[in-house]
Amino acid sequence: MSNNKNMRETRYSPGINSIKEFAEADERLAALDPEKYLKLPYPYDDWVDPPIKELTDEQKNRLEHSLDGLSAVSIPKPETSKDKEELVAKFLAGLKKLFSKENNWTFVQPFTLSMENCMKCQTCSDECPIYISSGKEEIYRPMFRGEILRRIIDKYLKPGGKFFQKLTGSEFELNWETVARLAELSYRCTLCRRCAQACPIGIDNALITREIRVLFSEELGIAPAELHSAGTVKQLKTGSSTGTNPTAMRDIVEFIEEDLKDLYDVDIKLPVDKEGAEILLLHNFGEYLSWPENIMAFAIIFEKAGINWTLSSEMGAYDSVNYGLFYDDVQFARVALDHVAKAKKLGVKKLVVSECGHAHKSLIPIADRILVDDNIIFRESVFPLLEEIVFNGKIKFNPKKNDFPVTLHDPCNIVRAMGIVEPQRRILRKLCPQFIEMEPHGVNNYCCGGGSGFAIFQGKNFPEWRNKISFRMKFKQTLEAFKDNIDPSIKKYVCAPCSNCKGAFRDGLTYYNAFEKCGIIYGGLVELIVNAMEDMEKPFIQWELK
Amino acid sequence: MMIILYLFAYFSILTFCGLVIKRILKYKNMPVHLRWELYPVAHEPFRNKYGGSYYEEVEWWNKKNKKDHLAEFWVMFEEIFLLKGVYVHNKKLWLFSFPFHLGLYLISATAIIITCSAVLDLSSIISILNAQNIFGKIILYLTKVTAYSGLALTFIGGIGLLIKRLSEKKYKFYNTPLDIINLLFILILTISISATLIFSNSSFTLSEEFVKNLFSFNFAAISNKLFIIHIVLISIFLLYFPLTKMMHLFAKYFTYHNVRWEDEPNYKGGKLERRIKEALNFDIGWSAPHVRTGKTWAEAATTLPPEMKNVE
Ligand code: SF4
Ligand code: SF4
Repeated sequence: MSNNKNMRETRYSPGINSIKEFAEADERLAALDPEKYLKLPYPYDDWVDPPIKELTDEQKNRLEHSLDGLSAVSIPKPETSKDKEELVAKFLAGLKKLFSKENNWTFVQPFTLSMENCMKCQTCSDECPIYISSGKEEIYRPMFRGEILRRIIDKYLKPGGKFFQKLTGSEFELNWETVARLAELSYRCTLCRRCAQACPIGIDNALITREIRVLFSEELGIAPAELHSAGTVKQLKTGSSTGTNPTAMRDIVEFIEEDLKDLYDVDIKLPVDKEGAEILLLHNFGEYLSWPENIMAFAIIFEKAGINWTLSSEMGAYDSVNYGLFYDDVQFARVALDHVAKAKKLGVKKLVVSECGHAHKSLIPIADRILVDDNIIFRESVFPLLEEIVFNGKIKFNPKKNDFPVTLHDPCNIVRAMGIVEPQRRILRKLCPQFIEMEPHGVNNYCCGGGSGFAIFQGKNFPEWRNKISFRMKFKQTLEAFKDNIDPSIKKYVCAPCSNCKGAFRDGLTYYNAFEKCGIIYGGLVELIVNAMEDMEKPFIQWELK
Repeated sequence: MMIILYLFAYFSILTFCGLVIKRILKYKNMPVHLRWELYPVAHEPFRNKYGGSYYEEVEWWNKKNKKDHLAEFWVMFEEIFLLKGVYVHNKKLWLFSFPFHLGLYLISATAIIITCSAVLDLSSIISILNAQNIFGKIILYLTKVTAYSGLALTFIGGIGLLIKRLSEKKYKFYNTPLDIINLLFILILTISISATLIFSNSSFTLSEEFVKNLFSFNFAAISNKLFIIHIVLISIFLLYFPLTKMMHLFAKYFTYHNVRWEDEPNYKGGKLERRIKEALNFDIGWSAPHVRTGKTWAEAATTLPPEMKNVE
């Protein structure tokens, strides 16, 4: 896959030369030339990515793809001029609603502040992993989306006429291409908010991006299938975005119990719907299907620590996923309310969110402003609890069992957006003698590249873009953290305590062949905790890239 | 004719104040929003050093969570007066942006001193700038330092920013005529203020006199033409400022206090809960079919369209 020089013959479009071209250009607006991508360190210093594969002719004919050759949102090309006009008119109507306190009370204040006060100082640009990894594609600059939106607003929503438009540079025509490109562009940002953190004024380009997504979803009914029809809709309907129903959930739990016995000689019954339990532990259901060892590790820890806990098989209470966070406030509220209703039904004292970043942020701080009256239930992160368990002496640990290089990935939603920084580190410092920090880390971390839903986007050529561009910075950081032990004979572990981040690592490490080339695998935090338990006879961590 | 100059000055000052207050009230009176803080949150005691929050504690709701207001003040001070964020993330820009902003603060400080001096003198409390004693001389001297250094810094910084805007691709790409006009206007102002100071207003006498006249509604004649031009330019600038992005000066308070650092938890029966309930009762007008299930926001959120109803 690497070093495919023949592929260099592919011709790349020149990219965008002026902001007006966003509306007017016939050609693709991003060059996406692999030669320009962010360079990776040894042993990837001579790695050349093949170009991102083109959509099929059928897809090209059917779907809007003129932004950068990708189609994350799958917007069909309008057939008649009436369809085109309608798209533009609806977009403008939605844009107005974003500024209305009734429709958009959820974010109107931060959104308005961000839209009205950007000084175009470009301080945010170099903080964006996507912009940098792509070789500084202009359209991926963090403030680019906001700037397009501002010019549309100046021209179409503000009084002032032609003279004012000249002054504000907003003379370009709003056509359906602009609208469709903007929709696509709102899915080239992981909402990691690293740019917002750097902005001296406090402008949040991630929020602007998110609000563009909200506009498209709540006004035009346009959203990627992975988030909407196969995401929140499926979750509300079946209880999980994976489509798993309660009966199947209970079956999976049984399989996991069997595996625990077969693989690790651990005889544990996972509590499901236990009455009188203190804690309802809420997993991302992806863990049950893709990383059952994470579910097992939690069970081992909680049982050994004597925690009074339960899982729920109640529809909606066994999957912590809430993709509404990424694109639609109403869908977000529906899923969050469902989670809370089910937790209340079980009568637990508190709801604890396990290793899933966006579920943390959804259920703990964000849902905090949706819940009123009896819906205000106690919700917390699992990391402080894990820290307490690791340090309270009830379980004996032998850190020598974890004597291999370990680095930590900080999920943006847990760390930058919630300030849960140290509990997971204190655990790693205690249990992993070769723990190495990535640089930068903590609240300054880089996103895994799978944020805002990207980890589950598996359609068309999007996964390629994710692996090559949005995961790239994280991969570079990982290689740098392990640079002194990069030989594949030394097994190394990236602790990524978040389901979506693990999804991004799985696909990214596989694309870069990182296990064979460097001996790198990834996994959660609880796996390391269990692996270090004195009384676990068999090693818990399996050295393979799953 | 003179009265027109005075009326124009009144008009511009009042418009400036009115528009600034209007903008501040607009931001302040917006409804509660979903939490969207960004760590480090400056008022988080101790944990602010690394960006931690009260969520790092088991059962955080049982712990007393005090706020470190001093730390918050200090971060704000560093941000406003030292432009720390720009320094950390964009040093090349800071080289010009910092003197530019510092210069503007010093010029504003000079204007405030002149105004205070005029008011105190007018109310016969004390003379400051034109006092003949040693105290007056020191103040006058310091005010001159403030004014000249402010003008020099703004000018140097402004020229640097202008050159950057016009020459570097990352700025040029996004420039609008208004961005350039903003900088040019400030540069012209620094020249006009400097010229007045050098040629006719070296002890701020004309300025102080003019402010006194404004306060006492005394439309006395001004003979100095340079000073008249200077008043006209400042008045136009006061009218222009609130219409531009330069208002970020005030917006920054809200982006930090109401968004980045806004980590107030919602407790049953609290003030915040009341505000949330109010917002939940707003009418919702989005058009996508999946959202149109209720009249109010709360109704839409609690009423599922048929395709989302549980199938169990
Ligand atoms: S978002 Fe902030 S950092 Fe980025 S260009 Fe605008 S003002 Fe500068
Ligand atoms: S949120 Fe992250 S990915 Fe999006 S523009 Fe900002 S830095 Fe880039």
